[in-house]
Amino acid sequence: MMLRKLNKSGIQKFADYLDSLKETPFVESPDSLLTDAEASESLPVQVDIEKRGFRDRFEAAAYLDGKLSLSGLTDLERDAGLWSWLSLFYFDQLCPLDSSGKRKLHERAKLIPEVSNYRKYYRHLLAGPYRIYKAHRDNPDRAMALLCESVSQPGDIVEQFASRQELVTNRVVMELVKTLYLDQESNRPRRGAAGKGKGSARRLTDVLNQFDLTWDLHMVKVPDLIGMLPGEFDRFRAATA
Amino acid sequence: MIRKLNYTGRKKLLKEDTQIILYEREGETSFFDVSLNLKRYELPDDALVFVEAYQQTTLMRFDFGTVGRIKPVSDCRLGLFDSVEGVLFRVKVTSPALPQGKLLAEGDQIRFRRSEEQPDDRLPLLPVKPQDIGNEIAKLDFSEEQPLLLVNSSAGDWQEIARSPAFAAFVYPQSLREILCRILISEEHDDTEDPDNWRSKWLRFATGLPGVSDPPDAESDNNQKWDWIEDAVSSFATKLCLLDRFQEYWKEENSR
Repeated sequence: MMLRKLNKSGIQKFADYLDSLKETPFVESPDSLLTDAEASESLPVQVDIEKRGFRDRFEAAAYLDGKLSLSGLTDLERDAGLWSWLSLFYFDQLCPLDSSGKRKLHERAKLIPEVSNYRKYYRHLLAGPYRIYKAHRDNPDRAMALLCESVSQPGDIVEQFASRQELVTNRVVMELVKTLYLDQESNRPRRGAAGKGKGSARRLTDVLNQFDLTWDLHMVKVPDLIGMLPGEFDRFRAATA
Repeated sequence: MIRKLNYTGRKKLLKEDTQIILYEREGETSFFDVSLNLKRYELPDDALVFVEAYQQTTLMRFDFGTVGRIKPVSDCRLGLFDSVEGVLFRVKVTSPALPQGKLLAEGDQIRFRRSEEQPDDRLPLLPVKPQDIGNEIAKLDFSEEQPLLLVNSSAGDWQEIARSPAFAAFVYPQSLREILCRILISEEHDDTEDPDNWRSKWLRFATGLPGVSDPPDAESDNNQKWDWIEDAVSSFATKLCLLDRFQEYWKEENSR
């Protein structure tokens, strides 16, 4: 299908549908908005988008980057209509049905991006991984700890790092996060990376925010940074040895 | 919230010493030039200078040589940004000694000036900006280098709305209260000296209101901070004659 963007009316109808799921969770998604000329509009360039499954956020981001980055479309990341259209197009993956046939509900910003809201802009389930992938396009694998989960469940590591511009864009920090928290064999986060416990990703952001006052974190080597971490990270440090 | 402590004597680069000028040409990628004046900071000549441009999840980093020999970068195009609107800059000066990367000085949240614009040192304390904010009429936005007052762009003539006595009476005192609360209570900021920091500017503004004392320090209890904030807001409303202006407006509205 050719990629389009929802217009203001289309975004409102999609938002109304999301709200309606609280009361009537079995209602089907309003796919007609994808092509309805009153709810969506075509783009200045033709981009063919395939309805397909994504193993994880990395695969989704790589696919979208391949489709969008060289398309000639401008101001992509701030185009709420385009990302809302994509949310609806991939709705079954972003809000999968549970065993009772109900949709998993997300906060609205995960499906309709709040591009100007600095607390929420990164939360969109497709634009979020796309942004991270794009920021590390020279070697997207280094951001794998933030891209390894499913598109519908980004996980706690993402929430901790994607919200901090100076950390998520930093190559050294992303290598560090991957080294500490990603189990290379399973390509899944290590136990204890999520949550508020000692050595968790949440604690790491606190420590890095403090380091950021003393060090230019772009210049510090990852092994040096690992060595500087306090004792509460020993468990993860040991796993990297 | 964890308070950030500067144990290392890192110096703060003032915005007047780190000016960024943006050049835009039709059909070409925008590029910038930077004017750095680092003399007064007494930094080592061999310290490394980097300029970073950033906006949300996009970052570009440029190597500008050393303090003693600032090296103009041949390619300062901001090609990674979809749009230059909202792009901010930071300048970092780091030690060349091992271990690499020790920060000696930094200036952050530097806004560019377009090449055709004149330098403006008199930026308003609370710029008003139209934006689609759903069904709210106005709200504060803390996402940029200083608070902005967003006015719903769909509500009507946003400039007229922002000037109206009713809007002023309802929105401005509450905005001041929210800003001071964020500064003193959420962020525990009590420095009034920093010439560039928006928090310090707001504290200086509030302290300058009639009858308002110096702000409580960060260690004070929240009741003291609340009392000070309420004093400041009350003084602000008195100084602007908000009640008189609102009564006049209300009378006019009811006589129509």
